[in-house]
Amino acid sequence: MKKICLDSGVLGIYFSKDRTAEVKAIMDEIKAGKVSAYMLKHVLIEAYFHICKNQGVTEATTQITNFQSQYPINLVDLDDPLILHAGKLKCQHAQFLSYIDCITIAFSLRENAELHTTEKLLKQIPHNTLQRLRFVKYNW
Amino acid sequence: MLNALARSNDMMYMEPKASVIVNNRGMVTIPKNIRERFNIHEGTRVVFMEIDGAIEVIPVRTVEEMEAACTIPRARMSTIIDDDREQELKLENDEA
Repeated sequence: MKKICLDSGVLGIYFSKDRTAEVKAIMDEIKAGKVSAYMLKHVLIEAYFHICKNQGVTEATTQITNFQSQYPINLVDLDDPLILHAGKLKCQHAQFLSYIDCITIAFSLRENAELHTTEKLLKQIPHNTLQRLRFVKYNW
Repeated sequence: MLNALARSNDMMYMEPKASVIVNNRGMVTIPKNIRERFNIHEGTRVVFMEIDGAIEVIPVRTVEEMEAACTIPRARMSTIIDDDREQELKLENDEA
């Protein structure tokens, strides 16, 4: 089964009022178990914050809890190889990539998972890394 | 006195909104105003979670209810994420 890894931009589109057809389609595939989806646990913290900024703590708690229970997404924890690879990426591209970006990219490369991302992150990914990374781009 | 303090600092003193008694089977009645506000009705599943020392009761929504609850326009969400990203990179790189 195809492996995919979601970034916070894709989740941002999902949690928007007028989500795009592309994001709705991939979320439906995940729900139906047609793809094996992964996401860093840290990305859920970002999503919580983004929802909370507009809709408050109660709604953020409800939406994130429900999201986790509705979609079969494997939540990824840090391990030693990921720490070292992500650390290396951060050293090389600190001005462009956040810690979470670095972990997401390191995980996608290791698992040969397609990174499902928005153009916001993609613009920041250095060219040499991008050559090895398989990705699907979503527009805002 | 407590009310005055509550008004002066909402974060420190919060008035209880409702109080109910747990029965001998551990059951409580969720107050009507809360059921209405959160669309909790007969058959609604709820999740109990301990978060930061408090018990939170979170109603489980269907995918359709979840979609309806997302009210942030995409353009606004895009701005929130941009701002967050900029702040995050600044904080992370200022630390170093």
